[in-house]
Amino acid sequence: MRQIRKTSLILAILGLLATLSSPTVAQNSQVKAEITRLQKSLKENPISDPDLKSLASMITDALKAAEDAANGGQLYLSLERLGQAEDLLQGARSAADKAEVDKTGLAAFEERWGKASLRLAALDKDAHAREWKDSPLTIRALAEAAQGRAIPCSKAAEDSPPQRAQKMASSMSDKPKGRLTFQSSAPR
Amino acid sequence: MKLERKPVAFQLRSLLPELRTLQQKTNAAFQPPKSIDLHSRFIALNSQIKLAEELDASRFYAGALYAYLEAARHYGMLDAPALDAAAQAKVKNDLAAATIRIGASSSDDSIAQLFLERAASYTTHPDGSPPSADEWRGARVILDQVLPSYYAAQKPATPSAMPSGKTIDITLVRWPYT
Repeated sequence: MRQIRKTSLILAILGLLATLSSPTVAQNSQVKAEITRLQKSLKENPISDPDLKSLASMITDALKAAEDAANGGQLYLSLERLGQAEDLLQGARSAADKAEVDKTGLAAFEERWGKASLRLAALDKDAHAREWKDSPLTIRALAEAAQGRAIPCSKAAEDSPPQRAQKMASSMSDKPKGRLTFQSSAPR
Repeated sequence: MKLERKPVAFQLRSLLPELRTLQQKTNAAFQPPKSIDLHSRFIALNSQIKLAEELDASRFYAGALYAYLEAARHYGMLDAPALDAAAQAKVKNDLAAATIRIGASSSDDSIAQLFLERAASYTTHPDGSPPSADEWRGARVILDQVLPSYYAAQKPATPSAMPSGKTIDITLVRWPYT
């Protein structure tokens, strides 16, 4: 389940990068505006799920790093850090949104997985066809790296241990429930 | 701030030879006590190599380059020594020189610029706090290993010097009835 949520937030990152295909001063402001929006979102709607509490400080740190980089004129670094913050925050939001899955169990997961897979397949096709000649290579690299992570994450989600457990449980119970865990990030 | 793309584009290509070499070096380095003490670093390194290979196979060559350079950075961190005050000063000088060189280039070196921005963020904190030992090492690794890997990736791939050790026999058969 964690993988499918990661997939959905990767889609969000891809959307952000698509709007930044040719960065200018105005787009640096756009990055700053997005940082402010996420900071506000985190403040107004803090992460309360006990399984995800460790994420809050990581998101704050990533947003601070993105803000520092943007203030220092380091647009590419600010974009990279913003992507990490967006990844963590949207992942936490999506993971906290368990009501639908708690209610209908595996069926809800399957439906979300199916929709995300279709979107990913379309995005993958678009990514290969996209014209990058007017964009700095870093923008393309960040977008492709996010794209490259998305489909393996999606495929892993379908047959990840929690999903296998849910599929087994669904044969015994009407309302199987999984428990989400979060793994610490890689070393810097 | 001028951030439009530079006129000379980076000539992207498959990085499979470099990735295979880096994977071999990583496997060779995975020996105790390093494999135990730096286990999380090895996990990060191997995951970046895997991501780069998958991106390369999908012809996402820009993403593959980014992941490959990130893997090169992780690999460099395995053996990077601590830096004394003189070495730290040299990092700052070298970083400034590299930043000027990239800025003056007519090529789209924005991926190299991203890593230089990272190195700068390691060595200069906005709040004035001193960098950690790992941050100094990280900046040195970017200058000494990531940037050379980046420039090497701009050149045509060199054939692997190592034989694969595998042979195949191909028998061509002409079917007489077609």
